[in-house]
Amino acid sequence: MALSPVENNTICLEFFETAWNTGNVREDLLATDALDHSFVGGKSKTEPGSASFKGIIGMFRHAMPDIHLTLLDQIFTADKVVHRWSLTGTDTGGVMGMPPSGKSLTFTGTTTVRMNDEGKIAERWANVDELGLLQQLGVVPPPPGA
Amino acid sequence: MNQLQQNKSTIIRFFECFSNDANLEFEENWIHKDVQFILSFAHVDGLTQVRNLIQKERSVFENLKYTIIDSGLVLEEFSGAAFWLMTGKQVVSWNGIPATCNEINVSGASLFSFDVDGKIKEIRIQIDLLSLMSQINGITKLYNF
Repeated sequence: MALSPVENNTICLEFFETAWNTGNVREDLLATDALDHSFVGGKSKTEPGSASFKGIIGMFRHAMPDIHLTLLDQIFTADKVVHRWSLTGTDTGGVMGMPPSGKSLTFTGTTTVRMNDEGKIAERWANVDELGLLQQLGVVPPPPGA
Repeated sequence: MNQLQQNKSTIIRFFECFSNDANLEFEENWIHKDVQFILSFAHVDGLTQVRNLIQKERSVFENLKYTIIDSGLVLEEFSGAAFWLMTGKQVVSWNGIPATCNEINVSGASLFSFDVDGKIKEIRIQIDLLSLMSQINGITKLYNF
């Protein structure tokens, strides 16, 4: 039997807060056939399993060991959970393979999850303000005339 | 029509306003006059300014259209999320970037808040601005990543 929307949201909170704030990606909260549709950091296709999410978490936690996830909005109904969030941390390890900037960085995004009937994360989509992040790093200048 | 159906209808109606031939005379029975429209790079305050922003966007992008993706609506009584694809052609200078006549195809999400009367009171937009800027030649990367 499917879990309630509140229960689904609680699982997503546990999954994302644990992953971002401690680095532990809770495989037990993911469906075995989970799909990651988020196109972040140059990724351009849907990938199965947890590897791509682990890759993103690992890259950012290496770049910003003090990275912290803050939930800004939560919307959930039926099998869907939507979180608007911000991530803040200090770039001591280098984001996306760039040299460390030493800057304190903050960027925002939205994550959507579809839960399956067993209360596992089945699909994930993310929209991330990558341009804002890159502008803070100084690797993308403002547009002309801005 | 229950509250969720009304919220869905209101969100669809809002996106339809961006179409180039849509009527922009908002009725204040579905959008609050003090609506807040919040992007990562701009904060638009009030219905008049939102209308101006939509008019500007429609003039910059020919055949502008927001298509809500399949299963892209998540609705609660006082909030909702919509996931969409924005398409059009950049025919006018935008944020200092000259017209490219490039077709654009950009994804994003909008989170809506409704007041007790079901009017939109806040819209927060998460758009893939990096992709948009890349498609209209608006950025130069200083580093290969």
